[in-house]
Amino acid sequence: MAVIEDTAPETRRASAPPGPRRQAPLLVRILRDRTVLLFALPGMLVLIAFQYYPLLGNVIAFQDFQPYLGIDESLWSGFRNFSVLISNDPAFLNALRNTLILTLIQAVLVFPLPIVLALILNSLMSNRMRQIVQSILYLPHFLSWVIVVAVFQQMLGGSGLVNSFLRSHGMATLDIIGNADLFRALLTSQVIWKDTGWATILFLAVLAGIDKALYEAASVDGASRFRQMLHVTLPGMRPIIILLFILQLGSSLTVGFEQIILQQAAVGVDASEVLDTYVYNEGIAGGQWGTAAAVGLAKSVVGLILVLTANKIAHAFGEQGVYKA
Amino acid sequence: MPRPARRTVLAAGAAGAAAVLAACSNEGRGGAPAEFVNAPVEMPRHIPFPGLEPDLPGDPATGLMDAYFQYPAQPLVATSGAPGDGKVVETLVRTDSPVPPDVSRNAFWQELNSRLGSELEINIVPGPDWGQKFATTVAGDVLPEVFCVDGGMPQLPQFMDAAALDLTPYLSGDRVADYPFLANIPPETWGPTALNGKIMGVPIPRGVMSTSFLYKREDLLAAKGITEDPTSFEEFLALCQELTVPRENVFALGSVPLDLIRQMLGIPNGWVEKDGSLTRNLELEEQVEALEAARRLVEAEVLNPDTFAVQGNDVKNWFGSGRSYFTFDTFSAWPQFIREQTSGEDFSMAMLRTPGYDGSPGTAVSWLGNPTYGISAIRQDAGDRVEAILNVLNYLAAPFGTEEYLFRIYGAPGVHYELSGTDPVLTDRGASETQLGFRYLADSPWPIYVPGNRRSTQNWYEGQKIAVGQGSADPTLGLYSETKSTTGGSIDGRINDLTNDILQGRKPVSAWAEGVRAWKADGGDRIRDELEKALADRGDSLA
Repeated sequence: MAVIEDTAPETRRASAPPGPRRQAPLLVRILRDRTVLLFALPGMLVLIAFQYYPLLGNVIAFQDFQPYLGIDESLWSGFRNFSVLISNDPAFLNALRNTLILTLIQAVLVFPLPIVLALILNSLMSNRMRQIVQSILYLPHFLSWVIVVAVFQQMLGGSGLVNSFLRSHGMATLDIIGNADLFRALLTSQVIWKDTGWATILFLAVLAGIDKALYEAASVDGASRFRQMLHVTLPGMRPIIILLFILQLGSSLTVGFEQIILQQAAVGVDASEVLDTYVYNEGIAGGQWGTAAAVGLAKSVVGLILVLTANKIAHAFGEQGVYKA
Repeated sequence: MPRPARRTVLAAGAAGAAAVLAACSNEGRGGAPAEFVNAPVEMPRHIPFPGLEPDLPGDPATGLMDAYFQYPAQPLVATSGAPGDGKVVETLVRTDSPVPPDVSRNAFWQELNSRLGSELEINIVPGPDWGQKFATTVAGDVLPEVFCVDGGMPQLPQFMDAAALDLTPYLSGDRVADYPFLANIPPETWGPTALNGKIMGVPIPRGVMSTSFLYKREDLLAAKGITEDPTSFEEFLALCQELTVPRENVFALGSVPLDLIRQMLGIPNGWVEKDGSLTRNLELEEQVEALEAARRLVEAEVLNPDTFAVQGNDVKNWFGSGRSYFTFDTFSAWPQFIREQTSGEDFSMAMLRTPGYDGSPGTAVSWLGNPTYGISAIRQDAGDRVEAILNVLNYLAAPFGTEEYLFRIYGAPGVHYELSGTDPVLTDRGASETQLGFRYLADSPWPIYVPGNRRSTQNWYEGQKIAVGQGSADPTLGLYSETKSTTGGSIDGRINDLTNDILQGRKPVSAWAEGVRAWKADGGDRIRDELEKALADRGDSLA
């Protein structure tokens, strides 16, 4: 299988010059690209040490793993740990259901927002104004989830700013934080507040790269600004939108571990347990390491299948996708 | 061929693991057989340290601790020379207090190191994170030389066998006399350290100090003219409603006192034993009544609106600042409340005497806490330093009345405490610098003593006297069950989640019965069988 490393696009470009797809032998290419490869080396080492090497730890999914015995001494248990996936365990099913719902919300509601925001920002007349707005929108990205959750708590919590004000004026209070029914809405608002601004960066870069001549041609043909967006801007953005969407599918079952675990106590597991918190609560807190690893592994396999399938579909529609086989 | 993508490797890894699996067998692997978990061993001889005459005497029969009104003017210097061997001693402990300043900015820590003759490196973990931190430390194989383990840890005997050093040759029988402060630790506290026929650690004694009860703000209640404790749940509820003033952000409670209500109803501690058969207290029908009563407290809105959203110290802070009137906590939290309160000079607290639920006296019980807070173990490969480490632990267990105790609890005079008469009263700096968490590494039996506050000492003593008077001990304390060790945490966690769902109104009280059924089916019944067998075995060995 000829796949191209998605995390090192610079080597891809260097090693795949334009022209016929026929490639030089590996050694020749390595010698030719040695400078670029050297640049990539530190990143690769980090990747190997912190991504590839820990993958080997997945063997504990097939063990009755005991931390104090380690992988060498723990008992092998075959596929027994995976039985949780098919045994209708209510706790697991609940986590799966919540994960899928949040995945759907994030794909449908959260994913398009940065695109919309980028279009709006792009249409702002004044450059200065755009930069100010952009900076303000980026800022929350640099706050950790602990801070974001605390800020929401201080603002909207039971004795937070808003409710304290309402209470001291004898008015009814708002039950937002700790309300299981609103939990998904709360999570989604937090994600949007924190990361939408940051996610626009890529889209803005693409927008800047669209040939201005196309807009001129369109306006000469009498296209309105809306028509221009529809027929020039969006098609120009399409490859990157599809690329990002496929990449997101790979981690689509990862719906915000830290954010959720911080707020889980307030709303209970029924509303808040997702696969990642299930793995944490069962595995690390509950000592069921093998089961937790099995669930985590299954989750990754699903992510992999989603990416491969989506990429195939993208190719079928003539798109570039993440990589070409 | 270009490098494979990250996720391809993952799939290959999974396939590879499956291949390895076929080649692997379990031969020569496995845990410890259950039989020898409770094998006999000669325990350390109890050599009480000749201490002071208490002002209010304790009672070894009930567990009531000794109380003192003042520190001796001439504390006894009980050790000579530094206990350490000059090399760093690495430790891992938990704390329930705010994390103290680092050693470079902490005069108390520096002085401690020089007194110990060994640098005490303490990795301090906040209580709520302890379980996860410990599990990952073990899994990452980075345990320090000295570490505290929780007696309820999954697979404790097997873990200790694999990770900790056998201390029997140093502590068994009369040999403990080399460590006089460790020999002063009461015998019942040593029980949980005996695993697999060996002494695997040094216990951290708390006696009945780990018993929880409802603290009340005596000063604030007196200001409202309330001096009598409620005599039934209804009166308690009415009192809470009277005290709650939402407009001023003052609420009677900062947590749901479900265990208090259970104790009002006389539900026994943990398990009920009758003629050798056991019933988990969760199965009792009074539980439903307790949950319904707790729901009424929630619905009456006498709880801080953030009750379910906050963790740990916030609840304590509400009590210390007067934003709540009551808080459910252990006797051992008493000094912490005194130390960290922010209400000023007039701050005063006492135990609210647990009323019988329906007002009939004699129904209420107090669930006695585990006398052993945890076990300090020494890593298996630290054998060449074991005596130095035990000497350090011995020093950290210096009892009340000694100069060593005065230093390890209160620090240096003029810096960390000011003398009021002969009593060391912590300064702000002392309150923050002295909380290094080593009281979770080694300790002496606790005295009942609030420096310079006779009334608080008296309140503490009186409260504890009431608690032990109606004390209910867990009959399964110290019994080992394999299933409890492996799945107990998980199924208890689910019952806990259900309890929270019910308390917050997300599920009806009627869901409780199904939850308990699930608990039994998922392992509770096996735990009961194993505990019953262990109970019978213990009976046999005593007979």
